[in-house]
Amino acid sequence: MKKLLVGILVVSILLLSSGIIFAAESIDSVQTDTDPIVTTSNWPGFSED
Amino acid sequence: MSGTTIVSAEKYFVEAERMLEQKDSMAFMENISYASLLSSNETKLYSKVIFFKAKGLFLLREYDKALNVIEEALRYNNGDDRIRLLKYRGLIATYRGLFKEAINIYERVLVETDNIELQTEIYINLSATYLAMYRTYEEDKKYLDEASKWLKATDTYFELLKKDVNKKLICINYGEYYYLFGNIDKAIEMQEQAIQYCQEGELPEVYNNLAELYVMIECLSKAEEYLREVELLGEKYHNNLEIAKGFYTTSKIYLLNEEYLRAVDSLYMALDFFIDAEALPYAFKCFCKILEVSKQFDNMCVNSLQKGIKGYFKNTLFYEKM
Repeated sequence: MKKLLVGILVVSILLLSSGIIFAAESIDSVQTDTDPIVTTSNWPGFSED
Repeated sequence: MSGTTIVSAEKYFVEAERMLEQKDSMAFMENISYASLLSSNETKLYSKVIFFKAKGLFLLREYDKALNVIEEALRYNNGDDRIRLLKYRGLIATYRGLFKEAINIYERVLVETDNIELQTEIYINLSATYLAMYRTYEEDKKYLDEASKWLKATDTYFELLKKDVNKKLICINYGEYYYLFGNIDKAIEMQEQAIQYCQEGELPEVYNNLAELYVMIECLSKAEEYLREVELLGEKYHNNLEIAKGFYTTSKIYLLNEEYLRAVDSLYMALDFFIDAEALPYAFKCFCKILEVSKQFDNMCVNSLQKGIKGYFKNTLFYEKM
């Protein structure tokens, strides 16, 4: 019984930590190359053609 | 074999043009990438494709990617196209607030062309950059003088210009210059002059400028007239930025009439449209204004309540404490 509980505990810890690692990977993989000044035509008076 | 390749590349190129018009960034990138890949063996077509890729990325505000492609496109393009590519580089610097770098680029470009239309476009951008510098750097007058110098440079060619859009920009920038200089009547005159060079979809921008100027001289009926047009045309052309600016100016009219709650309502509408238009600096300014007006309204309520009930406590200990 005790071994079973320890087993469940170890498996839970493993699952939990892999979840954390997975989450961290997804955050890292988010694209961050978008321009910091994302504007439409916020600059009137310029010739863009 | 070579003929088939060109046809395929051109097909993707035409589709990319269509996607850019619709501002569909993903589809544009997909098509222009195929076009550049398929045309890589045909220098003439490739130079056209790579130029358009740079232009598209610039117009879609993908500045980092645009700068890389401009670099590549400059190797394949000469003459007017080269000047345009350098102009995009200058504009990216301006939009990033790197004004001095932008001015250096524009001034270097000027000596490379004798095309009147292109020269004027560079004059326009130089004047607009100096106006932006004046607004950004604590209103240092020397920037206003520089703006005036480049605007005057456009005077010589004004009548010869083929593109109405350039005439419109010159009038708008003159209007902005006179507004910053403090000559509101002249600013109104220039903005009204800009109307004749606008296509219908461009009118909301000029009408908003005029509404703002008329609010400044407290000619509110005229301002409201223009703001109604802004709303109608803004909706017709899905121009959320100008609709937002219109609501922002409407809030100023309410504030002049001390209608605080209506002013706040207008500001919230403006905020929504600024966010829809991804005009984040404007949205931030608008949000600050909402807080400012709300606080102003709270203070007015407290003062008015205090005045209202103070009279009931005359000759009591509470009178002085209120």
